[in-house]
Parts: sequence; structure tokens; C-alpha cells
Amino acid sequence: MSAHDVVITGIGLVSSLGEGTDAHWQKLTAADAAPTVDAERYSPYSVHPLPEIDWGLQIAKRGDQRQMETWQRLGTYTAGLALDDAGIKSDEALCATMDMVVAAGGGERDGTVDNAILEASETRNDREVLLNEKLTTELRPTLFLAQLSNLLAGNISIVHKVTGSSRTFMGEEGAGVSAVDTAAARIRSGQSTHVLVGGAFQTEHPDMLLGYELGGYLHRGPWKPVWQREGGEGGGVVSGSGAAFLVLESREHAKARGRHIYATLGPVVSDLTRRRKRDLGEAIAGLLDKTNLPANGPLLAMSGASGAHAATKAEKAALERNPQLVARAFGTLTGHMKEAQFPFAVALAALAVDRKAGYPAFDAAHEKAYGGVPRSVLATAIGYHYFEGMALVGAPD
Amino acid sequence: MSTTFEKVAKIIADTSEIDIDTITPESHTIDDLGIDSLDFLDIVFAIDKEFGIKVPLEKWTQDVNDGKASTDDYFLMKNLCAKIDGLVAAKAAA
Amino acid sequence: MAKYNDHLGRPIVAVTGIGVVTSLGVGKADNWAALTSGRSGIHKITRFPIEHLNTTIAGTVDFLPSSNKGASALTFELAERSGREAIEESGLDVENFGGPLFLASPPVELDWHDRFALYHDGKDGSATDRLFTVARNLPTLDIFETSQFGSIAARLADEFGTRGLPITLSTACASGATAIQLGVEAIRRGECDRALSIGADGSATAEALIRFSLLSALSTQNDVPEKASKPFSKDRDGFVLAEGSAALVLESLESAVARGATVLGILQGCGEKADDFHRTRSKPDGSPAIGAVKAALADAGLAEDGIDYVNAHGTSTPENDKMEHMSLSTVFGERMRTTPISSNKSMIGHTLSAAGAIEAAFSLLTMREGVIPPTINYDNADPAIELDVVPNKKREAQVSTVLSNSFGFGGQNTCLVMAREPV
Repeated sequence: MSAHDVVITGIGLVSSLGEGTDAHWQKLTAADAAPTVDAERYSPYSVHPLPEIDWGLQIAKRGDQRQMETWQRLGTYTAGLALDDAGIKSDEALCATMDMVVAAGGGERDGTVDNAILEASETRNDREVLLNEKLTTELRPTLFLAQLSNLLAGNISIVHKVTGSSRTFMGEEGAGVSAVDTAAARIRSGQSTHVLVGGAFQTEHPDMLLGYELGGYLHRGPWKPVWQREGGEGGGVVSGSGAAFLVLESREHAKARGRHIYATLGPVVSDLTRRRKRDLGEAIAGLLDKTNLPANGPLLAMSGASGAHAATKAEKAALERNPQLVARAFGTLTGHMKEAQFPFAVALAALAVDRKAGYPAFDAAHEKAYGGVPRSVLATAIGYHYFEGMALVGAPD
Repeated sequence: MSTTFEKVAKIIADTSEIDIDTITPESHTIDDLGIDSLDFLDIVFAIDKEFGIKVPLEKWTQDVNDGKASTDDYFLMKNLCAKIDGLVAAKAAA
Repeated sequence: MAKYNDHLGRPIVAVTGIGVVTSLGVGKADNWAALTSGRSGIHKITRFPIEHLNTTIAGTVDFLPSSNKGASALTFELAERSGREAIEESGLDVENFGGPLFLASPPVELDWHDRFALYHDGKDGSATDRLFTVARNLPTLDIFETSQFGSIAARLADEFGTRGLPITLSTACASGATAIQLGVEAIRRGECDRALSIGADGSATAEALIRFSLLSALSTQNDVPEKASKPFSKDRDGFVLAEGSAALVLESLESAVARGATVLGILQGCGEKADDFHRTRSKPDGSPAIGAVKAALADAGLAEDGIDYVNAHGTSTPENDKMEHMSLSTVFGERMRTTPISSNKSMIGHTLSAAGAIEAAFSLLTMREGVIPPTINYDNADPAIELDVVPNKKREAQVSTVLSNSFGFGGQNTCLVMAREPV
């Protein structure tokens, strides 16, 4: 135990399961936990949609809301939940000195304009001129800002007044892994005392789904739990809208504020495995070795498994090869949330440690029971296409 | 049927936090109403769409910067509406 | 006996390799020759039709094989070229770099060329249906990769044998500087002996140009393209979109000396501060920029009299140049009237995600070569901005320390302090 240990003092969560840590805990520990899935809107694809959110609860000014589309609102809102949870939101001095690392993709394109351009191109040879014509007149000028990757962090600064250093990482699940890794490393080295870290992903837009389907990654047909996607039509991923933000602090800083600590965050181990050259299962086993798993007892593993056939199969095998591990693929209930996936895994791990109980199997056919009090919980995110990361979350004492 | 003024005032009120009752023909959109620069771009976009015109905002701004016109000439509500009417008429005549 | 730790006990970070590509050319030599002779890389756009566009000029990189292959391909090639030049200069193994990669790159998107192709390959149904049907049956992952944010870094990691999970980052116009800062921090934390920091941007598509144009951010002085970018001038009217890349090989000084590498300069300090005022404009009192500059000086262990030259953010927008002048005058006081400050953007335009890295590279060359590149197009001084902008012609000068500023859209401000020699 040291003063510079990284501890988690605030958690903000939004997903198809609802908002906040309590709502998620209730839903995820319910005996009959079932996902909320919309199979109609983007048929033949299913998504886990966002519930109705009162954005005004965290984004007070209508003008601020208007400058964002759903993705940035989701992230800004969830960041607010985390800041509230950590008791930092109303503390100007703490916000002004708070560092931030955000894992971000990009914002929503104007589908109406895009489709009008595509349809018009049926009867025009001069596509590039057509593009100029339409884009200069049909796009709302400030839409660009709602799309810019670093503007999620920008909005968090403007709305919540978090104005220390600000970094935005891009790169699907890897961005979430690196964001948490970097935030923790800054604290451990004494460079930061408190950091806001997390990500948001809004899947309910054709382009967001296209991002997966250009690689053939989306699952089609009836919904199945994550560990059962193999052999199904399509590529295995069912995506979900969601966001997870964490407030990380040095132990010393949290104690000085007298703040409740959910859990400690151990070092993040990560890699970019060349999946065509190296067996992913072996690579995951290698990461598990580096993670310094506790010697005894069953260990809960909050797995961000995506459902993508190859990656999920490799992860399943690697986790099973280690009999100590009891996996929980939370994507079964939330969908795959890309940049938010790893922060979400860490958050769920921290909740289990804090509430001194595990989660029931999300898929009884493929997940073992867990009845103990978790002193440590593993969080993993194995990218559907590339990037891998994991970390151990532990009891604070 | 609403007048140009009513339409523009509604666009402004919808786009920014400004209360429609505070917008009068004598209001200066920038100095009195304090419309944010980004909101202003979206307002002009909405005006273009509503009236089927293209407000030459950059030219107007340049004229003001060069001293060829005052901000009142373009950005006082009644003058702005008159300019919009002018652009609509010019388009119809073309 | 050389000292290897700085005033805060952290490993001193040296630069042992530099690579650059801009509209002025490929490689340090061509770029430096052009920059110091005051040549502009800005030209009339030929990459796509300019009908309907308010701004028809840019500093695009049109002479590479990928120049017309879309933003993803071009950004990769730009990063690869400068990365290779830097690693080769450093003497390290270009296939087995053995340290982490930090890449500043633009956000990616499906290229319109591909979007049209997918649509026209489809048969029935709505536009959306057609895109999906064609997408799921594509024979290769080429188009998929262009839509993944991490793919350029993943390819570079493969190519150069960098270590671990590469980081792709964006802090808008400060991105290139942030990539360097992340490399410096990783070395200072003892996570690695060396890091590869690259800033690259090849995203000047019609849509990118239009997006900035809609925000009134771009110069519309199209008639004489080379003269449109005129930082600190009275009639400046916006920035000129441009492309390019730069790479730095960063190493702990100790490790560089131990292997006999040539030290090209020192990354002495990094400072940053986020702005909460507005999505595109800076706080009128300049406090975030002032904060970032002061943080960089403190991090470098320098007082206000410790900077010989400022490499400005200098975008040529009415707002930035005014704010930058005000912030620097606040920090440096009277001294700012006589401290030389020039903007590379007057010649290469605003290279967005690459800017902070390119300008750091030019700052290091400034010190190495003893020549300060000019701010060109300085014909009508802005009377409100009293600065020695090194107008129009280069200046020979002994420069031992440089402050390089990058102030980004969305309020992310980063400043770097570089030195010729370790302290």
C-alpha cells in the first residue's frame, strides 16, 4: 500500500441498462438479468439502445446541448455522473486542477445529407462537384464540432469546468485501455493527483454500425449471449450505446479528502498482437501472466469480450485454461461499447469489489457460478479486430 | 402569414438562449442580443434554408472590417430583415 | 561528467532523430532550405474541383504516391516517411524500434470516394441498405481499415517494430505537440528508454475544407495563394489548411550518450492547460494559454528570461494571433517586444494534427542551424501587435532555447520548451 496507489473514487455509467452505479448493479445482479435489445431499427442487426435520458440533469444549458449530438452528450453526461459520484463536481478548485483522458471515436454524420448526395449521384457524373454543392449548403456549420473527436473532452471542460491537462485517445477498445493506463501511470508517478478517464460510444447510427460491418463483424439473426455467437450468421458483434467514466486519484489525495474509495487499480497490461502471425489465445495467456493474478481462490473476470468470432473464441479458451478465472462477459447485457468497453469493465470490477459480491452468471450455460467475496477482480478488453488490455482491480485495504 | 422579422426572430430564439420577446426591430443581433459567434453561423444557415437564399456573411463582415459599412447596416434586426428581403427579391428576379 | 537527470530528478529527454514532410518537400534538407528562403508551399487546390468553394487554396502534399488515395492512405504515408527519416537518423533499427509509438493523427472517416463506390455497387433498397449489403460482402479489409481509428498506428507499429499498444491521439491543433509530450512523459516515468512521436495529417479532403470554411476559420484570399497566410498582419483573415508530418525519436539522454548517438536537441519542458470558455475561441483573458506557457517554463526549470525564440502557433486568424500576442506579453512582459517570434504556418499553412510536431522539428533545426525562419507575408503590420516577427527574411542567430506553442480548437493548449544542450 502506498500513497501513490491508484484508487477509484468516482464511477459514472450509462448503457441500455440505465444510468448510474445503482441501476447497473441492480440489473446485473438480478437473477433474471436480461438485455434490452432493439432488433427492428437496424434490422438485420440488433443494438442495445440508450434509454431516455434527461440531458439537462448534467448539461444544464440548452445551448451546450445543442452544440452536441448524442455521442458527445452521452460522454459529457456520464462524465458528470462520475464527477458527482466523486464529490468533485461542485469543487471549482479540484475541477480546475483535474487532468482528463478521454477515449473517443467520432461523432454522428448527417445521414439525411449523405443519403441525398448518394441518391443525387445516380443522375450526375460530376460527383465531386455534387459533393461541393451539397456539403457547402446542407450542413449545419457547427455540426463539425459535434463530430470532432477531441471535442468530447472539450465539452467536458466547458460544461463541467475540468481544465487541467486534456488528452483524447482514438483507437476503438485500445483507446479505452490506453486512456486508463495513461491516467493511472500519471498518478502512480506523482504527475497527477486526480484524473477523469473514460469513454463513450453511441451505436445508434448507420455509420457506427457500418464501421463494424465493413469488416463483416456484426452478428445477424436472433440475439445470443456473447459466448454463443460463434457459428451464427455474420461476425458475432452486437453493439450497444454506452459510456463509462472513472475518477482516479492517488490514495493520498483521496484520503486527504476523506473520500470513499471503491477499489484500487493495478497496472494495466496491454499489447497489439499481430493476430495473423501469433496465436491470440497464447497472447492473452501471456497478458494474464503479466497481470500478477492473486495466488488463490476463484477470480472474477469482467470480460469486455465483443462476440467477434475469432477474438472471442481465443479469449474464451485463454480464460478457461486458467481454472481460477470465473468469466462474466458483460457485453451479453450491454452490447459492445467500443471505446467505453475497457473503462466499463474496470467500473464493473470496482463495483463488485466495493459491494463485496460478484455478479451471477450472465450466461449460465457458459459461465461458472461465483459465490465469494471478491478481494480482486480482473477487467479485460480484447479488441474485436485488434488491441488487448487488462488490469486487476483490488480491495482498497 | 408571418413576416420576415417574425421568422428571423423565431430562428434566433430557437437557436440561442434568447427570449423571443426581447427581440425587437431595433435590436442589434450582436451587441444587444449577444448571440454567440457559433450560434450566429447556425442562425445564418437556418435563415438561408428558410428563405432559400445565401446570406453573404463573410462579405458583410469584410465590409465592416474595411470600414465600408457599420455593423448596424447588416446586424440591426430591421436592417438584417431588409437585406434578407432584398436577397429573396434578387433571387426571384434572377 | 554529464548530468542525466533534470532539476526535478527526472531523466533528461534528448532528441536523436527528426523527420519532416510538408508541402515544401520530403525530408529535413528540402524543408529547411525552403523554409529559410521564405518559400511558401500554399497553392491553388488541384486535388478536387473547387466549384462552390469559398476557399480554393491549401498547403496539400500532392507529390506522394498516396496523395490522391484518401486521407487514411496519405496520413499513413506521411507518418511513415517522417518516421523512417527520424529513425534512420537516430541510428536505431528501423524495423525494431523497441519503444512505444505515439501518433497524432486526424480522426478517420469513410472516404467519399469509397462511399460512392459502395452505394453504386449496391442494387436495391435505401442508400443505407445498399451500403450495408455491399459492406458485408467486401473481399478485403482495406476499406474497413480506413474507418478504424487505430489502424494507421497499428500499421506503423508493425512497420517500425514499436513496442506495446500504440497510442493514437487528438487534441486538435495541439495534437503534434501532445504526441511529443506523451513520449517525454513515458521516458520520464521510466517506462522506456526511447519513444517515437509522430504527428501526421493528410486529411485535406473537400469535406474537411468545407467544414472549416463553414466555421469561417479559413482565409478566403485566394487570388495569391502564397500570400494568404500572414500571421500577425493587419489584414489576416483565417488559416490555410495544410498537410504534413514530423517525427521525433526521443531518448533518455543517458541512453543516447551510452550508445554514442548524436544529440540533436533536448525536450526540456512541456506544459498544458485546457480552456473551458468556448468550443472554438479562447478565453478573452488568455489565461489558459498563459497557464500553458508558464507550465512549460516551470516544467523546463526556466525563468521568463530563459527563452531565446518563440515558434508561434501563429495561425493567421484574427483571434489567435491577437490572443497569442497578449498571452506572451503577459508572461514575458517587455521582453516580448524584442524576443524573436515567427510562424512557420506563414509558409506551410496549418497542418492541423501534425502542426505541433512539425513546428517542434523546425524549432530544433532553428537551434541546430543557428537560423530563425521568417514570418513571411508581413507587409502590413497589425499596429496592435508589437512583436519582432522576423519579418519576411530569415535571421542568423544563436538560439539555445525555444518555446513552441500549439493552441487547439476545443480548448486544448500545449507548449513545448526545447533546448540545444542539456542544462
